[in-house]
Amino acid sequence: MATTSSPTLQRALGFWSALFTGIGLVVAATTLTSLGNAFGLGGPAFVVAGLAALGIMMLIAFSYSELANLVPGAGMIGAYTAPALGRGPAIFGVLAGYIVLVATVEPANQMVGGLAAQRLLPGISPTAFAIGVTVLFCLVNLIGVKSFGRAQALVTGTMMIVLIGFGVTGLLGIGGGTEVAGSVPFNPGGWMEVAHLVALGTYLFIGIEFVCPMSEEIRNPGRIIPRAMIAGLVIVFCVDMVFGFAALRYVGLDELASSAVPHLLVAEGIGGKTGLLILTGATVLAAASSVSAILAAVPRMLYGLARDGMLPKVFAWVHPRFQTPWVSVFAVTALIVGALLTFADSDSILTLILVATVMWLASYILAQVDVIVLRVKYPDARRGFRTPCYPLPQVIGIGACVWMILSIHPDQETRWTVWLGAAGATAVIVGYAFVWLRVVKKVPFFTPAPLDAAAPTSVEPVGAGEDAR
Amino acid sequence: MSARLTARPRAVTPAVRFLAQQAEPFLRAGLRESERGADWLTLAGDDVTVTLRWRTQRLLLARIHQLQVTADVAASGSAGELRLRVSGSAGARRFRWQSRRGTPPAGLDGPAVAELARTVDLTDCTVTPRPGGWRVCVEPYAGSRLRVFFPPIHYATTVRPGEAVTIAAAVREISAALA
Repeated sequence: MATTSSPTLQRALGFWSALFTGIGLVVAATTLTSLGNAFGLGGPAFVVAGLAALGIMMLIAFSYSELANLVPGAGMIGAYTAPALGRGPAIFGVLAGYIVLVATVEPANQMVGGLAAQRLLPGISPTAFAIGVTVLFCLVNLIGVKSFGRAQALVTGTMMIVLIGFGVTGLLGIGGGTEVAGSVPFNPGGWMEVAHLVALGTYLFIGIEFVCPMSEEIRNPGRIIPRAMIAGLVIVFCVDMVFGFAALRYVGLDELASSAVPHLLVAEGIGGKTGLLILTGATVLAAASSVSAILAAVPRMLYGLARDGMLPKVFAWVHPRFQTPWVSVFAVTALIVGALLTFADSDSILTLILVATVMWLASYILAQVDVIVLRVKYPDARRGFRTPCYPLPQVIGIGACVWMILSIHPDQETRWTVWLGAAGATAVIVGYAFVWLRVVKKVPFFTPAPLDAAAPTSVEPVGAGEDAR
Repeated sequence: MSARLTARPRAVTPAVRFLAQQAEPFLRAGLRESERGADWLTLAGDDVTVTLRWRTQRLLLARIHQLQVTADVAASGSAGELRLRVSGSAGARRFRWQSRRGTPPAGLDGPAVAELARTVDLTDCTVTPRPGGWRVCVEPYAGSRLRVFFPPIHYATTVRPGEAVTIAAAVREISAALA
């Protein structure tokens, strides 16, 4: 079952599926906690930090939109980096940015979902539940991209409707809950505090780029991907703000700022025990929607790399009936389940999440560099979307990411541990890339691939395009 | 996920709830809670009373809430702030009191202070003049609550019970020397 005579991915997703893929990862179980904490720390003025964070993420979305238009390959950061900086950095971009993330952040996210499920069903094991959800969405992803799109729309849409419902009910005061006494000042922490909260706000939108690896399965990706990313960011901002302002009416600032489950405090404040049950259910849905988005996007990245000869060909195998990259889906599922069974609930998970964040930021830097390099190398290439104010967003983006890597933790000892962890992971990935490219495939590490070779239409017979781009 | 689920205003503020977490090793070391306020907690032993508070450090991407173990000592006389300076590696730590003004009072380098400097990682240890006396303040590195904004992480670490015993003994010894 090699790709040369193989079935192809199915171009079957429209705007809504693309939108829910992005939102599904952005609104994860852990971001609900961050949202409540952020409003507790900043009060109503967090809306300003949220707007600034939205602006930053818009700039990043612009870069990814331009890249996805220029190189609409499933390999995403790998497909963009190969023609810009070479195959070695391309392998690094995918494995460092996304595989490390899948093995650390996503299991932690699933554990939050598992703990929420345990609140609903006290007899259940959070780990077993998290594994069950992961396996369930593995199956959904295996049986076709259409089924993924429907499931993603159902799960993410329901979750968003629940959040909007709580927000509107809370703001209108029709839930029957008791509001906190006294009015909340607009900016209790001062503007410096608001500036500090931009970083936390950014985390509320991160992951919107997960729609890009679906580009070979999205009808008219050149139009849909930028729209889905921008609409997704705006929708998430609006829903978060409505929910956050409702939260301020029902839970004190200190409680919101310090709780591990502020969104559940809000739900109980607005709707009592029933509200608590409903939002606990929505937390489970948030975890489910994120794992679903991960299991759709990351296997496509592996598929894209493997198809272009940067990973073993087995990862490019496409199921003849379901037209999904089944080996890659299984591999990513195994990675998440393995992490859930081993270190997801251990003390070391915090350090690993920090390491994964450094690697993810490195991958973001790579994307910004790709935009600049490809503009210089291919100034006249057809781009369906051009990032505005080039190269300012890219320069700001690179600077911000470098700065966040340098300040990844306030404690110097922990910071060094994280940097060393990231250096170790980098060494392993670069070592693999070097051996695979130089020894096995006998191709250069840094020499950029031709731009045409990075696009799916010119390599092995993968989906000769059910629609015109 | 240990937060209590109620939206009503409550007597126990989050600051004190987190302080109660930090008080655990001190309670196991034999002290008992005697009083609590909105952002402080007092623990009393047979011959020492300490108050736990937070000192908050605001960084751009993080916030550190550092535990302070303090004791107020009534005394006459005045001097500048004293700070315990610890040098050397874990096996052979040395310490000395540094004073901005005048010489440090005698008796501040007793065995309990030596044990504190030798075995407990300290962020800071100061003796500060205040109206009518001094405030002794020990900041153990392990007693802290961290909030990282990117990625959002919020966790706390506490001192070990053995370290709590050492801190309480050092505060007692310093208070006795200053009184």
